[in-house]
Amino acid sequence: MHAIIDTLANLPDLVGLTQITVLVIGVAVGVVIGALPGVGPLLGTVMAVPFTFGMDPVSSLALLMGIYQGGSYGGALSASIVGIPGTPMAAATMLDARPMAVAGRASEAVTLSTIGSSFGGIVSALVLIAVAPSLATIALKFGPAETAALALLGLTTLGALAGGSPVRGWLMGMFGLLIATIGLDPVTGVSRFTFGSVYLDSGLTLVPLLVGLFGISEVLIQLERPVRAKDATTNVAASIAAFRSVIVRPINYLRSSLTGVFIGILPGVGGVTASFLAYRFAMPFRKKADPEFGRGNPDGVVASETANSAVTGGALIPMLALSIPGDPIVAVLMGGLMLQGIAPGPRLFLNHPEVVQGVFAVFLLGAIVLLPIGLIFIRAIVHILRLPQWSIMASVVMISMIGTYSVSRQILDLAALLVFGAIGYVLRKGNYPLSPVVIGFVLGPIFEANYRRTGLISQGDLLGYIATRPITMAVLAAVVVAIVLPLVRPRVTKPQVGADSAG
Amino acid sequence: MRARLLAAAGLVIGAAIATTSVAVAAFPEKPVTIIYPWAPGDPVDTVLRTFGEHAAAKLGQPVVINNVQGAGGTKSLTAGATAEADGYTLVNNWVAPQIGAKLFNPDLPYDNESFIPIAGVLAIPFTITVAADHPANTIGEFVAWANDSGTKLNYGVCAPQSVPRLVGEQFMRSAGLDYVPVPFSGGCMGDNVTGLLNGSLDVAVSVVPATKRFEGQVKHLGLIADERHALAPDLATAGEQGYEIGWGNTALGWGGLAVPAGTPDDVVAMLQTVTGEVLQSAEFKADLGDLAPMIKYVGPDDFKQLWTDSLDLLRPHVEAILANN
Repeated sequence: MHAIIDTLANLPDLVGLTQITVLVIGVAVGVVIGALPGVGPLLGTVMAVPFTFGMDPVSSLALLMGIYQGGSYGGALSASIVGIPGTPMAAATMLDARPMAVAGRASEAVTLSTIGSSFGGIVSALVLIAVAPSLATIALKFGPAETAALALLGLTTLGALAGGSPVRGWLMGMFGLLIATIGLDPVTGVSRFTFGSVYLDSGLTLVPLLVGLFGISEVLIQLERPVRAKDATTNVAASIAAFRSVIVRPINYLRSSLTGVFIGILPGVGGVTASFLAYRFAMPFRKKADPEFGRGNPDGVVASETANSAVTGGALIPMLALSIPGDPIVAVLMGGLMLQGIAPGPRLFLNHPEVVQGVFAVFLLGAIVLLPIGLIFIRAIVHILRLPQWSIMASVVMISMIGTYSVSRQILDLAALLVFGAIGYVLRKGNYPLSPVVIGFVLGPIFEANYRRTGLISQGDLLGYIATRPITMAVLAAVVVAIVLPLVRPRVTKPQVGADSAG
Repeated sequence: MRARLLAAAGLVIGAAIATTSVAVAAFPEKPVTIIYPWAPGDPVDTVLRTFGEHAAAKLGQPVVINNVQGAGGTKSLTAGATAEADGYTLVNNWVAPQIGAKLFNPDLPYDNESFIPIAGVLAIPFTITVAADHPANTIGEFVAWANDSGTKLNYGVCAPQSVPRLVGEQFMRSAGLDYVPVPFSGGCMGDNVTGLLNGSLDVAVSVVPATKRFEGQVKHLGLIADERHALAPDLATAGEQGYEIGWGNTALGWGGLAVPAGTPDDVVAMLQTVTGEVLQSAEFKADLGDLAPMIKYVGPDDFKQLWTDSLDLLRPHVEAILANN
C-alpha cells in the first residue's frame, strides 16, 4: 500500500509529457497489432526496439509496455467482430464474445473486453507496485516439478471447454498434444515426426496454427452460410450494460485479475493458459439469467480478457526483480531495458529506484489509458459490421496470410496456415471444438519438458522427489479435484453442442 | 505458345547472366544482407548492426540484418547455405548450428564445405556457474563440496544438442564429477540459470554476461577457456585452477561471417578485406562500448581451420551422447 501511495504521489515527477505521448502511441499501435490476425505484441515490441535507442529508459519502456498492454487486448476485437482471435490469448475470449456479437451484442462484447483488459491491467499494476520484490520469489518456488503440475491442471480444463461434450474436448486436446510433439525432443534433441524437414525441426508454431484453425476455417464456413456479428443495440446502451457489469460481477473481475497476475509471475506459462484457466474458474459461478458458457455469456468474455491483461503486470515482476523473463515479449522488454544500460534484478530496486518507479507509473497509466483508447477503437471497428461480407472475408484471408508471414518470414508457415485452415474446417463441420486444440498445443510442451526435467533432477526417485515439494503436491491435489468433481457432482446444466463452432 | 515461352525463358536467363556479370564488376550495387540466427535486440544483434553500419560506409551500400530464428540457429545456416552465391547474402555462422547441430543431425542440408569463411567475429567463453549462496567460490572448492556430498550433481545444460553442453560435460568429466545433464531451453542465460536460482540444479554451464544480468544471484567459479576474457578479467580459467580441458578455441562459443560456396573469388576477397578492416578498427570498438570485449577477429584461413578442428574434436563426444540416447 505504501508503495502505491508513493508512486501515485510522485506521478507528476516520474512521468512527463514525452512518456505519456510515447505510451499512448504504444497502446494504440498495440491494439491495432493485436487485432490483426497473426501479428501480435511480440512482433510489435521487437519492431519497436530500434525506435527506443535514443529515448530515456522510462520512455523506451513506455513504448514497449504500451504495445504489450494494447496488444494483449487487441485480439479480443477481431475475436468478437470477425470471429478470429487476433492473438492466441483471445482464443478463450472468443468462446463467448463471438456468440454475443452474433446475437446482436457486438458493441457490448467488445466494450466488456475493453473494461476487462483495463481492469486486469490496473490490478496487475497495483500488485506490481505494492509487492513486486516479495512476490517475485513465487517465480523461484516454481521449478520444473511445479510447472509440470500446473500445466497438468491447465489440461484438466479440456473437457469443460468443449461445450457439453467432454469427450470431444479431450479428443481435440489430444490432437493438440500430438501435433505439439513435432520437432526436436526437448531433452534428447532428437527429431520427432519431422520426416527430415528442417522446417519442422523447430516444431509447428502457434501463429499459423491459430490463424488457420480459426481464421481460414471461419472464412470457409462463411462461404457456405454467412453468419454476421450484429449490433442491435445503440452504443450507449451497450456501454451502459458493459460498465454495469463491473458493479454486478466484481468478483469475476477480481478473481480473473488475480488468476492472471499469478500465472503471469510464473515463468514460461503465459497468457493463453491464464485466460483459459480464468474462464474455467468463472464457469461454476454462472448467473441464472445469463446464457450458457460458450453461448454468449458475458462472464466468459470478462474472465478471459481480464486475466490475459493481468498477466502483463505479473510477468514484469520476475523480470524486474530477478531478471527472469516469463515469456518472449517480456524478454524483449528486458532487452530494451538492458540496451539502456540498466540491468534488471534485485539490485535494480536499489541502484535505479527512479527507473523502477517510472516503469511502475507508466505501466499503471498504460492500463488506465487503455480504456479510452479501446473505446475509441470500438467506435471505429463496429463500422466494419456495415461493410459487405465479401470484402471482410477477402481482407481476412489477405491479412491472415500477411500477418502470419511477417512473424516468421517463412513461406512454409503459409502452407501450415492453409493446412490448419482445412483441418479447422473439417473439425467444425463435425462439431468438434477448436479451443482444446490450442490448449493442448500450448500446454503439451510445457508439461512434457518440465515433467522430463523433473524426472532427471529426481535421479530416478520421482515420487520421493515430488513428496518433498509441497507446492507440487498441492497443485496435483487440485488436478485430482478438477478431474473427480465433475464426475461426482450431479449435472445441473443441459448438455449443449459445439461451443465455438457457433460462429 | 511453347516457342514464345521458351524465348521468354531464354531472355530471362540471359538477363540473369548479364546482371550477374555486371554485379561482380561493380560489387556491391545493392544492399548486402547478413542472416542472423538469434533473438533481435540481444547483444550479438547489436554487435552485427554496429558492424553493418561500419561496413556499409566502406562498401557504399547499406548492410541489412535479416533475422531468421529457430531450431537452434540451423534455420539461419540453411538459409545462408542455400542463398544465391553472389556475395549479397552473408550468414552469421556459429559453432552451435554449424558444427554441433550438424553432428547431432547429419540430415541438415549444409556442412563446412557449404560456406566460404569471411572472418571470425565473436568469441564468448562458457563458464561454470552456481547460485550466489553456494558455499564454493572456486572450482577446487566446488569439486571438494561435490565429493563430500556424495550425490550425483544436477547439471543444467543450455540446450540438449549444444556445444556448451559438450564443453561443460568435458569439464565435468575432467574434474571427475558424477552428474546428470538436465537440458533446458532458452540459451545459456535462460532457464538453466533459473534452475540454479530455484534450487533444482547444483551447477550450470553459462556465459560471462550472466553475471551482469543475474547480478548478486549467481556466481561464476571459472571460465572454460585457455585464457581469461576481457568481459571478466578477474575470473580465473578452469586451467589456472588446475582443471584443464584442453579443447583450445573449440571450447569457445565462436561466431563469424561466411558466404555460400560458389561465391566469386573477387567478391569474397573484397568482403574479407572490408570485414577485417572494420573488425580491427578502433572506431568500431569504440562504438561497441561495453560489448567490444566480445569481438575476436580471426582471419579467413584460421577461421576455416577452426571449423575443421571443432568438427574433428566434437565428433566423438556427440557420437557418445547419441549412443546413450
